[in-house]
Amino acid sequence: MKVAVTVLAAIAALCLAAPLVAPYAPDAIDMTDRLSGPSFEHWLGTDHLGRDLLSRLIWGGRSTILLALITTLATLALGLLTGALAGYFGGLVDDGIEGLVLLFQGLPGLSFMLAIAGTLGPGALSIFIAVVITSWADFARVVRAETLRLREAPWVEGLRALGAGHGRVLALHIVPNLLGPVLVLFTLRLGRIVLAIAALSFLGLGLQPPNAEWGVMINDARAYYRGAPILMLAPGLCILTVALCVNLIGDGLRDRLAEPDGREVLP
Amino acid sequence: MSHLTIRDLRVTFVTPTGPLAAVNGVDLDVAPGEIVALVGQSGSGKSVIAMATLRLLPANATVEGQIQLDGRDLGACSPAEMRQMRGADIGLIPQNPAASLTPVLSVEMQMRETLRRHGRALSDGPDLLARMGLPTRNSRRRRYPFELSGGMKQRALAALGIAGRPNLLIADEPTKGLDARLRSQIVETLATARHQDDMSMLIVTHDLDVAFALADRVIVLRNGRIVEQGRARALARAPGDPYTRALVAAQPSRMPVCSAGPRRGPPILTADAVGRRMKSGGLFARPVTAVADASLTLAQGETLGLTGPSGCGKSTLARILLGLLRPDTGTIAHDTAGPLSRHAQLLSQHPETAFDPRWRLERSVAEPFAIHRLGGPRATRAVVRPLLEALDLSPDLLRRFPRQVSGGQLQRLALVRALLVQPKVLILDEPTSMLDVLTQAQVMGAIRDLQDTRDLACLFISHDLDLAAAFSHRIAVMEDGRIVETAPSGQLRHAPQSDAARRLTEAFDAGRARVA
Amino acid sequence: MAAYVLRRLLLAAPVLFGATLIAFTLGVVAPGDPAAGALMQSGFDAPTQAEIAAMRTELGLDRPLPVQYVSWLGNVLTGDFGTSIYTDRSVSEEFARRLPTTLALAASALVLAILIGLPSGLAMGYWAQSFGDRAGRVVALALLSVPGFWLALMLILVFAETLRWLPTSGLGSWRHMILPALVLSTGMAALLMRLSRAVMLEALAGAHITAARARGLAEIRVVLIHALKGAAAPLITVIGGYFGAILGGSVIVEVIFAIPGIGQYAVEGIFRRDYPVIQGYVLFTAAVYVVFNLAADVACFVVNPQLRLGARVA
Repeated sequence: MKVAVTVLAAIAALCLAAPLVAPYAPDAIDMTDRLSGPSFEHWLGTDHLGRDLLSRLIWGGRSTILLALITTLATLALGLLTGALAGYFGGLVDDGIEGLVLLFQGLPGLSFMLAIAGTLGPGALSIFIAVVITSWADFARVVRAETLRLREAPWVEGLRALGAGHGRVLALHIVPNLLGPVLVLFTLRLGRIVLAIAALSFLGLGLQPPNAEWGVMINDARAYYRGAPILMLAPGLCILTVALCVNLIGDGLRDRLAEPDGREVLP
Repeated sequence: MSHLTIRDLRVTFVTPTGPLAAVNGVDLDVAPGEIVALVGQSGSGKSVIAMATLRLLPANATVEGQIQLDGRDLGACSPAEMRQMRGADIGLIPQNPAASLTPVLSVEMQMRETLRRHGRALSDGPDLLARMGLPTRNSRRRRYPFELSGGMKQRALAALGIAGRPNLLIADEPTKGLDARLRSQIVETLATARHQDDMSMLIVTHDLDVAFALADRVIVLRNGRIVEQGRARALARAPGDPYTRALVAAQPSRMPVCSAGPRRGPPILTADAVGRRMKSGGLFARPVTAVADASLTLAQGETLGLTGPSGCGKSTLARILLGLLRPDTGTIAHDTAGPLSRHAQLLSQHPETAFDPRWRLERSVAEPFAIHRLGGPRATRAVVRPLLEALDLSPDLLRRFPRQVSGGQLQRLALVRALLVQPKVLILDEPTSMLDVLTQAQVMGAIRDLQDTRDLACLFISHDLDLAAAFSHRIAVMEDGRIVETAPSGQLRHAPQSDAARRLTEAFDAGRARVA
Repeated sequence: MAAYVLRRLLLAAPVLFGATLIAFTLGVVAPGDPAAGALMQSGFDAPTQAEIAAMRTELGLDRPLPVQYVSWLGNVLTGDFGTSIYTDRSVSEEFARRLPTTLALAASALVLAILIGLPSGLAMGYWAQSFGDRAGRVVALALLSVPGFWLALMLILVFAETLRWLPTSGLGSWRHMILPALVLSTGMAALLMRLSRAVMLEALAGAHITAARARGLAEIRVVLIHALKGAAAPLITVIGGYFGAILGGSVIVEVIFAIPGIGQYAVEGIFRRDYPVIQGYVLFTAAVYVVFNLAADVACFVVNPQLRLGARVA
């Protein structure tokens, strides 16, 4: 887990500082120097338009990671809000939200993500909307179940008997106790969303060329990868590394935050 | 020659926090046809000895020493030989009957596979079940575990345990978590098994009454060592070791009934014809009556015991009295000017879930001060310190998290928290049912002392009539949501008027009669 | 049994209803005016406002949205998903023609995933914390983190183009199916590994396992009957749900391996802004997903005596 955190932090730092660290601009075309192999000027070589692969990887990581982070955070916020409301107040609020959650969980997420992103047209915004719509229900379900469990925990009832108000119970006790499971869920989901964004971009539904994005780069490389396999290998390994690190961290967090009675925070 | 011989048994568990010695050199013999009881508090190593005999301890346990059955060294047996002996030579009635039957297989199926495994006639099955009090009903339909009550599961497990006709039967906590009526039924069942098969038995129990009622010989364990052993009758009459004496004295059935008589202080809490219907389960579940037409008064400085079988509405009534639930009918009157949450406090059944698991105890214990804005850290400490001392708690405990502290300590810390706002009424909802008898006696004693110095009124909810009688001035008996009888403890224990109270006292006397 | 299935069906109805709402909404929010599009398709290069208005009336687009929805829903319920704007062919016929290909692909992937994930996960759970278990967990996590489309391209590069063992794309013999099914199964195999490991661990921790062992029962019987029979229900539920997830994943595999299934059709529809096709795809996958979840529920019902008898009593 320590390794995963270090690697991920390094990649993220590198990508977020893209304007400072990338040796070339991601869209600097040089038709005189196409598909060249690794050299001193271009550490990983250049692509079919003579653009520096390393720079494009760094800029591409920036797009992928930022979009994945923002999308997952928005999903989380929506799920947290609906789930906590449903779980803590119950009644009609709960019935309504529970119905929506059941509806969205009863539908095939990937197909819907594709259809929604496809209908809205290519671009980061449609990916964002498609992912949020098809992913929030999982968050809401887990948060609701956890809130319900906490609300009915004997110590919460004890606090009510001591005279603690709803605000105090929610803010000081329930929300801090929710953070653990939510963090685990966030991390595990982030891994899946990184993959989904890359896949949608690969299909041509996400960021458009000449933007650098790992999925887009793999698609660009399809025509040339027999001669220059590194064009496909490098962005693929980047996605794999980021997703693996995120998943490793999620697993590690889950083990670490498991309740003392061995009950795992999430299935 | 003895049947089971254990010499210098030592069991150590590897845990994340280091090795944990559970059994520290125990010698033990069970003669053919003899019943030996291992008694002690939880953590005394009694169940570990039983499971070590079957070689069914978890993988993180190391076993040293010798275990012999009829001269055969069990430590030298191969896993296959061990499997051959389990069920056929050593039978087990496992702990936790609720979870010990395989849920997806019918009882008949589990009986058949066990008989087949040990080469017994399959036709013995119905007879075995019938002998343990599970007669085959009119139909030939199979019974699945979820269709059986707790007591029936325990009897099915007893029948399965003796199905292979073992010479040695190990019963691991056969009465844990059962109420008085079920407990006496299980004692009968075990006695039946012995008379009919003439097997020897090793009974592991925390309940001295059960041990004395069934066993020929009783062995008292503490921290993995034998403290004392002797004939059951002799030990029951005159325990030698101070630890055994404390253990015997802490047994609720041996506590003297409270003789103080009713208090005549001013009424501080009055419930008048309170009723409440509760919905449980799904959206379409019909509400059931949890409490109906319940009236009681609690006088200053008085302890009122509230007892009855599980599910009779005791806890619901407590929540209504505390204002956590609103009654559908009737009224609650507290004699107080301030907020109810300072006037009346609750001590709940599960100390391990009484505190926010992610807060240090220091902050949790002081929370009432923060809620009611009674003062800063210095003022809090000034109130907490003497309470800790009175309850024999070290201030170091406050720096820990709830899971790092034992159940008895947590319950006393919960008591500290409850008393911080100087309430006039304390509602104790089965405060000791999760604790050992010794811890139970200690906690209850502490509550009684505090009551005397602070003139507290206590409502003491307990399913254990003996315990309620020992600590309450008066007792109210509840059945099906109604309070059927309220009387001074002595009178209720010895001359109950209502049918419900009579049934309850008879069940508790049944356990006692066998001892005497 | 019949009553149980009926109740499940009643619960599935609102989900399908929701799917129609989402599909209809997609058609409404889609950029571009369908009337103008239809006119351009039939040869009008620059339709006038009047022509567009006439077309709107003809297509019924001037009616209020709820009315449009009800009439659209009526068509959908009779199996008419409309015609493709691009090819002018019936969408439902095209789906029906392509469905067997996708189902064959998904089924092979499911079988592969079960063959890979289930035994290895169960073994990892039984020998938990062993070397094999630790290695298996890392492998499962790695498989879960591989982008499927990239894996597909790399496998083509290695097995089809360099080693020339397998065909790169298209349909034909069973050998065409190997790579697509393998790619499609990876994520699910990894999930199944993790799940069956957890299921085995939890099942073995039950008090009834110790009790069964204490009766001297053979270890194989304890594991297979006493531990796993009760744990079958969650596995079946998840496998049923995976089938729907495979359908979503099949899109990428069909595109990369040029397999003429419903996923490829959907992607074509997306790039041609062929909304009836997209709507049809949404409804179609939703229906398949619901059917497989239902089938999984019924299977659980059969293996779990508590559900079975509980339903009889109730």
